[in-house]
Amino acid sequence: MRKKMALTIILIVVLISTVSAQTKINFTEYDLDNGLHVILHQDNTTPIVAVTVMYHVGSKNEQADRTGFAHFFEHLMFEGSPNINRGEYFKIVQHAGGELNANTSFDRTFYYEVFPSNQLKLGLWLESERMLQLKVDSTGVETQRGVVKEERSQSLDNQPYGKLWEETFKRAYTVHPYKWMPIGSAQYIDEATINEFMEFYKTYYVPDNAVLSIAGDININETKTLIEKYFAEIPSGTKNIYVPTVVEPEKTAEVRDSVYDNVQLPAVVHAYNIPSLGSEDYYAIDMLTTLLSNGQSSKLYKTLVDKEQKALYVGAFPAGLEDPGLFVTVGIANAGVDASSLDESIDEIIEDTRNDLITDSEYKKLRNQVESQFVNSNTTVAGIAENLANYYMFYDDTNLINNELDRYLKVSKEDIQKAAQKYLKKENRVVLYYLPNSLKPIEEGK
Amino acid sequence: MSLNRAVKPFPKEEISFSLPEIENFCLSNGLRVLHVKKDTLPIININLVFYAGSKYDPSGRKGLANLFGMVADEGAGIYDTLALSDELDTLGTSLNINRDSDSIYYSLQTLTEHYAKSLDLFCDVLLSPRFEDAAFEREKRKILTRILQIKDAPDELADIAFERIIYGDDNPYSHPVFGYADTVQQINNAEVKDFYKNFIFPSNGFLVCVGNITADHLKKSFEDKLNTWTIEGTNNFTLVNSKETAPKIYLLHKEGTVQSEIRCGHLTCKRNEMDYFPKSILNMILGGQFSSRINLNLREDKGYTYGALSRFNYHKDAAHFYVSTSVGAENTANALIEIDKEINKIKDGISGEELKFAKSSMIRKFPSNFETLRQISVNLIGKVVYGLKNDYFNTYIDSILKVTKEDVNKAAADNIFPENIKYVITGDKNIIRPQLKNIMFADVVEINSDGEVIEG
Repeated sequence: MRKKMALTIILIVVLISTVSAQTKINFTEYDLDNGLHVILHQDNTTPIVAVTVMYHVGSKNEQADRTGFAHFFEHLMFEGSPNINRGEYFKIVQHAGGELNANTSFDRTFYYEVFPSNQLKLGLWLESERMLQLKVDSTGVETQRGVVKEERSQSLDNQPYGKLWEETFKRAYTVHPYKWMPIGSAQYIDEATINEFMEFYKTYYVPDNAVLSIAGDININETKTLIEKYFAEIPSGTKNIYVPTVVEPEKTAEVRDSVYDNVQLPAVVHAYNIPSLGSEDYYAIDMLTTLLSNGQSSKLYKTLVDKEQKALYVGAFPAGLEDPGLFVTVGIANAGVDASSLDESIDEIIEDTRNDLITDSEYKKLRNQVESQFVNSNTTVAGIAENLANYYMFYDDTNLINNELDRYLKVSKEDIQKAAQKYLKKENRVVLYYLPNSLKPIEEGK
Repeated sequence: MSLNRAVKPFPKEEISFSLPEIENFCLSNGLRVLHVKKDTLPIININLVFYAGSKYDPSGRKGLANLFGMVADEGAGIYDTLALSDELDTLGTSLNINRDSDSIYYSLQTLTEHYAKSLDLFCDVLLSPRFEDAAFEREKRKILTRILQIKDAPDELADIAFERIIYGDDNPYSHPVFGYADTVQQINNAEVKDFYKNFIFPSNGFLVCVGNITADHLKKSFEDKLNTWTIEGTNNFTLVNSKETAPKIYLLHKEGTVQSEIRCGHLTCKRNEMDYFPKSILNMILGGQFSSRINLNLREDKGYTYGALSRFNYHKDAAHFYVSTSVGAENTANALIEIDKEINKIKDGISGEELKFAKSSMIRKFPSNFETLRQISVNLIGKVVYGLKNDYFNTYIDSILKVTKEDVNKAAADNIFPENIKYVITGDKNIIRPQLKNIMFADVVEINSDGEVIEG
């Protein structure tokens, strides 16, 4: 028995090194004098290049009366500069055969373009222009107010279960700014002035608060020279960057609530507070998530969707964040199943992970799934550039792009159970029923 | 070396790009195979495509192909549903059966190290599906619940109603791939088994494989597994066109919605005809990208929406042109007016500047369509489904270069018919109706969530 175990371990080690040998992502990283962190990855397979900038600012840097500010500002970053007229930014990228977009999370704002590789210089010019000298006028601000209001309507208000995350985070956090979503509130954006936007720009959109990450068909030395040329003159920041220091207090009792929306089937959310991204316990929780909801044979899916058929859909998500985040399970009940019944069934499965050690075959499956996910996470140059920036910004270890898998594989069966016992407990969670309007109790006169 | 920031950089030379080499061969049972070797990651992606999509659904059984696809991977060979998914999850392999209007796709993605075992499971699903009654009932219930759930999603409702209205009830492309609640209700497991016999056979499909495997290895491994798979089925299909319907605007009422989902357009000629490239350029200019006329007008000028687009949507045997957006409910009529304006205006011709822009964008973007395994697979599948010529990808850039302003203007004249446009709106009629009174083409009827007219 013991001999066989040893053999298995060797096999796993050999297997892993084969994979990482084939997928090793080489990169160069350094700082410019102004503090801009640069990461370069050369991959000449396809003649394209991803030029990306990640700014270390997200909705958690906002004030409570300016929610949605960071995301709104992301829209303004496409408005232009003294050398790029309003409306030109998109046109220039598309004329060059490029694609572009941006997104804002709780913790950071990310901009990317993917170009044919001979347009690298154009990408550097565009990103350096808006880092150096963004130009915003009132027409642009007014238009984007309309656009962002519609973005909120389209992705939250007019979507079934669209407000599920907002309602969950609102209850899971009492003091930390994760209590509002990056999309924020239209009302506060309407109240913000152009001066406030420019102040925000000068504070957060500075080279020493950003990572320039480039991946694709490039020559490293030429790229370094070009980066120096376009970015070195941008002055470092002089203003004080606000980072929330407030710590969300540990919950002492379960929070339970119901909300009503335009949906046909009830949904049940369980949200547990968990430690921040990169901590040892976080890896155990992330593995637990895979165990619970990755694939048809995962614990939640096989029990609730296939066997008991109580749920139309069920999933588990780790909201891994820079400050302590959430582990969330979401179930949508099948027709005729009520929320409390689904609630109980999800609870039983979570309870099992606390009470019982997972089996060897579950453990083996879990490790294979994590490995497969890891290999599949670097299939595009844009994805690689983002992952590199992310590992640098939030883990201070860019090379995790190659060896983060080791951290997952270090997690033992016992670690998973311990994490479940430590965090997946009732007093540490929010339970939210997201119910059809038709179930709404008649309001008493207020 | 001082930098003049006012000058936009431009590349000194064009990039060199060589297309991935496509190997074509047939297995001894006649199955056609397309293969591209790509070794950047230890991953293999396989799609076995059958002409068996929802357009083959018999009348009264809309949703049959979809339900077949859902049931067909629920247990196979010695494995029941859970044992099969457990085997796959243990390998970290994904095996799915996807469905659209034209085809069923048996899709496999696996790490190279697990290829042999994954292929075994893939062939079990292909050759010995179990079709157990319990699995059938469960999957049927899932899709019925899903159909119920769609009633909450204004965007999906708008898509479904729009296609039903422009294609017309008799046309096999008019219904959603998953069918309607009442037609799915009628389907039994024997019909699903018959579907398998009728449609899943070697000469009714083709295989596309991209990734970390040689053509020889691929061929040998499939020969070993499929050499006895030599059955034939029947696959009949006729396209029926429906009569034009009269009203212009179809309104699906959703109480209290803050946005209106707008879809509008009409049928157009199918793909693989002479004017594909002029039409593509035409659409790039009208609504095919961020700086298109429609998006710049509705989003960047008016701020009515987060985004608006137009497309020529190509099925294998039919196609349609449409514009799609969701706008603040209070701007519904304004948005309709602007869309109508843009559709009419494109018929007045495009500028040389717009043509240059669209061509440059499409040509330069071409290499990025071949970055991932999935992208390459999708390109190869499209090549077969649309019957594109062998040198299609090699001549792609030339085909775009050749397009003139006159070609694009002719494409607009031949393919865009403002008077034939049908508008479908999902939203709150109490907010929308009063606005529509003021626009001239406001001939409005109400429809239900399946897209049927309920009131004149």
